[in-house]
Amino acid sequence: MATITTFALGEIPEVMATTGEYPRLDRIENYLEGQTVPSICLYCAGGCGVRVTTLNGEIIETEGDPDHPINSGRLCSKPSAYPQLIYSERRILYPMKRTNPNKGENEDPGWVQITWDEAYSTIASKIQEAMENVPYKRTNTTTGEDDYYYVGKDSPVSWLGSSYWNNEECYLGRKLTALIGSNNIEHQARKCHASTVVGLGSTFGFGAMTNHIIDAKNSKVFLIVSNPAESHSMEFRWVTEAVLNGAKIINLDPRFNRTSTKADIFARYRSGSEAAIYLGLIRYTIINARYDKNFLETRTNAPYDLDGNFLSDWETNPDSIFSKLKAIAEDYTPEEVYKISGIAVEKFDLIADTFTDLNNRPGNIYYAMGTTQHTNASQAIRAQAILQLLLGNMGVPGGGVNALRGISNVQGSTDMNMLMHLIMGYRAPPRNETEIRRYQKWKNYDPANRGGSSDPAAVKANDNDPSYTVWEQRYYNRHFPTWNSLEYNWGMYVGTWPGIDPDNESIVCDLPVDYGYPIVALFRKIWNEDIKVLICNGENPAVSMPNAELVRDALSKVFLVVEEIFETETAWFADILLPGTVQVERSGSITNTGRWIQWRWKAIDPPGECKPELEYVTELYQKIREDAGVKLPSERYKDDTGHDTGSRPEDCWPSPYASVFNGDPYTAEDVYKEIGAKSLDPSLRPGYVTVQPAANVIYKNSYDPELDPSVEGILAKRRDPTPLDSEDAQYGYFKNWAFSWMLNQRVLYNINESHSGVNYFFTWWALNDTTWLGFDKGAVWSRLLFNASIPDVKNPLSHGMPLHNEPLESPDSELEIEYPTMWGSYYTYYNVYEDIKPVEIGDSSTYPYVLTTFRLAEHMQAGALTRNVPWLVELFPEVFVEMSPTLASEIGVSSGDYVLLKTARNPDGDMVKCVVTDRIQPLIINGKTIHEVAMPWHWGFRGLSTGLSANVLTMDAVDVSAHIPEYKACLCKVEKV
Amino acid sequence: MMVSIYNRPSMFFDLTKCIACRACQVACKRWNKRLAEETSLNSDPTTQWTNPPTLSSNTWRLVKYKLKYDEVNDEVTWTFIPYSCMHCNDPPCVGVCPTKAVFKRDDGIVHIHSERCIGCGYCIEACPYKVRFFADDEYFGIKSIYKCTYCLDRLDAGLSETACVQACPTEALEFGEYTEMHEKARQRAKAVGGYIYGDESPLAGGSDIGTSSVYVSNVPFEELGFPTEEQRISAPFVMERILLERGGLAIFGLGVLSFLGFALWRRERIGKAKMRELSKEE
Repeated sequence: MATITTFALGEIPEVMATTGEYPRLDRIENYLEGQTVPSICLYCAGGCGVRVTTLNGEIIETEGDPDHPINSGRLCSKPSAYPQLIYSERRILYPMKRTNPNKGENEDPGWVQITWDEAYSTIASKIQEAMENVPYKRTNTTTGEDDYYYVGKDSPVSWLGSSYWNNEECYLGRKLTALIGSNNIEHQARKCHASTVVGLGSTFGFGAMTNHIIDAKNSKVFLIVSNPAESHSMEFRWVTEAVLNGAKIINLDPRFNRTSTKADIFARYRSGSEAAIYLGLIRYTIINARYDKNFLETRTNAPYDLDGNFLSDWETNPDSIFSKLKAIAEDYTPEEVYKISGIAVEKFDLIADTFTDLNNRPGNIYYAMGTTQHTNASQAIRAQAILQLLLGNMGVPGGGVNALRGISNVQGSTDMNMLMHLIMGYRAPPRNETEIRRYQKWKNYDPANRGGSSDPAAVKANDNDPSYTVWEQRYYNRHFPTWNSLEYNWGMYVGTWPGIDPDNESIVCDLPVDYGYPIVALFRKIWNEDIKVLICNGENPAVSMPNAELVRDALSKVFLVVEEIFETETAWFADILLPGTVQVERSGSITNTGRWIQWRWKAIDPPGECKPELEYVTELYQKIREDAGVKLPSERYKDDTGHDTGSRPEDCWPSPYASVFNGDPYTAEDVYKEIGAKSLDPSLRPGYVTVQPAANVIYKNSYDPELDPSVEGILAKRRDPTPLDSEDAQYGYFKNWAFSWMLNQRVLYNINESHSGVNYFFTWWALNDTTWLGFDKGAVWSRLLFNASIPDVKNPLSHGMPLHNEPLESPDSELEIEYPTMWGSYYTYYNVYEDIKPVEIGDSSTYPYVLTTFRLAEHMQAGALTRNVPWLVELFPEVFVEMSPTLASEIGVSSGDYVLLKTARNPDGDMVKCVVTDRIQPLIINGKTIHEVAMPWHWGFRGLSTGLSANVLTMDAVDVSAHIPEYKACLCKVEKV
Repeated sequence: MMVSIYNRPSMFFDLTKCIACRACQVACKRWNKRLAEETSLNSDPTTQWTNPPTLSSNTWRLVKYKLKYDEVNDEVTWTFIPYSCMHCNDPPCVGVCPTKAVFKRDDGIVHIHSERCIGCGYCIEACPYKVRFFADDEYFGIKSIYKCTYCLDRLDAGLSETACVQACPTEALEFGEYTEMHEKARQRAKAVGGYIYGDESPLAGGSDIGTSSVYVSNVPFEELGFPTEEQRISAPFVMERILLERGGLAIFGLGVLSFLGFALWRRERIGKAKMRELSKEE
């Protein structure tokens, strides 16, 4: 299949009705007279303030919010073009249905306008049809009783997205899927930072950026293995400020990019060698005694042995975790790092010396997709985290391991856990029947109140059961309060009934049990027609998924509902297309990459029949309940046995604060309160109590009516930039501005931060199941990530420490053997690949070059939000592939020529224009010259600017622990056309 | 036309801070209602990614990309140049305008009475920076020369900076008083051991080739394509050159001045209504 880029400004598809055009009201007098409304940018996760000026219900101007501490009125190119997005004549304005039964890139959907009611009814009846034979009842062979619950991964109904939604909308999306018995819910976060959640979570406790945007100004040295100048331009405002104060920038990237222009040291490396580079830096730190001894002793498990005994001679004692790390890292000499990554020995030493220099503390690591999207990504991220622990760069302003997140609310959507293995606030759903029975025992802590307890001691009730291992106690103490909170806030039932004898009664569990399918496996299940319905909101998998042709095939086979603002490539396959809103057309809270939970206010009414997402999810659930008759397991139980467990989901939708089923008017604030409530409101659910009022534990206290009555307790609405105290003023915490999880702490794990929330690491327990060392031990060795029962074997899954492993497609056959890929038997969902469709793997003899993908400042992710905006299309009108002049002359092409790009997923190849550039140069890997080519991945076949999707070429193998695809390194062949 | 008041608006471009996000380019289009241009991939080895390729009547601010590679040391120098009208101290475009449409305001902003512009193109020819373009503009509804105005509508309304400067994430663009900005530029050039452009003091012969916009860079400006001192010639010399090169046309122009008088009077009447925010100088 050959795709030629087509491009025409102003071409309007027939179905797109027009609302008018920009520029609209344009006189400066109107600008000065207009009302201003604060909003937050919808593009990257920087959380910049956008000030919208309106007059008579129309937007006159959008600009950076001058009062906002992060951007002080500035904005990068994408939101600078905001009016063209909002008033685009290409927006979808009405619900539509497909009339062409055939689906494909060349099949016009034949859209016909329908009503919202018809759309909801169609979706509800499809869900009803799909769920007809899904079992909700099983007879237990031991107890002889019937157990009532759905198995989360067996649901034929799946849900995607969206990180562009506000927290309240994401929360309701997760709630909706849980209430219909599905854990087949995923979204953008799986593809961007799933490996961060695993890698950082297992080292520190949280899988989030540890510091925040403004905090860059406190750094002395940056190790930037990403491209913030392009992907997070406002972050670079604060990097620039640090540089003016003398900070140094080290930038590593396969290609010299816009960030590299500001680097003191730049080095090219081969995509997929990140773990080796970090392990090399760990070695350098240990060998040259650059580690922070005091920090390691007080705040990490490095000086302990695997049984949890502190060793005073830990630096030399071979049993210490520190010594075991040293033994692992010793292999990664500068020569070995050069062999794997291509960074010359001299340059590597300079990088290592600069980053670990005692005068350069605190040092800051910025990373993003270049590190997270590999089959060994969790290991590379673990290695970064360990390096920062060694240097004492954790829990201090200016330090940290800073995951730069890509979409405005991707942190919030991740926190709301629109993910197959989590339910809310990083708490897992019940994984098996034993856990549900044990949960019932936990609820029985307060026998007078078997629905839960409000006694804070209830959280630790599991500690009293000697039959549990220490590991189990910790696990249950972490997860049970959230299940209880969801029972309370969602009006459902989880446990056994009647709860007197948890071991022998019927299980009645309204939370779907066990994990669903992670996104790549999910699409194989869809492709195999095991999953019948996909509701896809504000996400464009036809462009953003690896091996996109397979995904497009899958989209052709499923009943597809797409909720979007533009007709995306995914929408092209939809059966029902629903018009969403741009962020200025609705209110709600969003969470930026630095965990700030900020409010954005509605500025104008949506055009046409576009519906705010909160209303859409609410009405959809109403229709699913009413038309499709989807019932909770507890309701089935009541139908069958007459026993009423008290579940009343209608009283709690969308929120216990306002029920649409009872005819209450509802707002985003009602849902916000449910998510972050500080205290129980006894009038809310009479007869019920819970020890955890906030449905999302990490957002607790973000609704606190006593703290700030001026915003009615909605702390995300706070807009006071004055510092709380002198420390706040010094480091730029802005603690009176909005709210930050957890408990308004601005730098995670910072024991010196006054008014702090959670300042300890909380990750670690010893190897044996009876020793618990308590909190505040950053995990140099981690039990959570890997099974460490055989700690000395170089087996990535039985190892508590990271290693380098080659990408699944390695350009060097010797490295492939020496550092074997993790893909294969390690992967839990491997059978989905084996049974349905294995990964198509190419070898280096056929596909000699490394292909990686990248982003541009002027375009956003899968492109719908920028490829439909003329001012941004003007800047990058066409897709391209970048290559070195050496490679170009080898294959005989000049800059601007078309080349044919081939990978194992796409052996016939696709045509794309090339940019021959000195910014890319060949690398010497294991003594051989290796060429790397790079392609931006923003394009697709719909929109104002169309072009080849890089992801039709990329690899759909995934990280074995995080299930994130290996987008960033695969093998390809480039041919002259 | 020497302007001696040095507290006038000025822009400082610090190329050592520019990350080429092109926020300024888009913000300029947004505030000044400039249309997007139809472009194609720029794959040129040295200017790659610059788009549109040049300034135009719809692109008053352009970020130019300049790539240089030192093969021996494997060193890439990629410089980003936000570029637009420099607002010269002694603008050659003003002196050559036969209808006095092009003028310099007391605050140093070089602007145009669009209704007087006859499209002769002398100012286009005279401009050493090539920032002036003639077009029939959809928004202003009048055929004229278009270029950066230093957002004079914003300044006249009391706003403190231009749209492009407001947008700049890294403070590579700053806006302020002439003396302050130029002093800042000198300090910065010294601090980074770099070069400065546009800060020249008056030269002999009455020409002042300094500009309201001042640049600092790590790379010599002649390598970045900025005009040399000789190219930044003063108005009389420009007029002389134009007369030599296009003498016939100029003499013909004198012959039809009486007709022009009538045409200008008519254009002024039509144009006035559409030129609200540009008419402060009237």
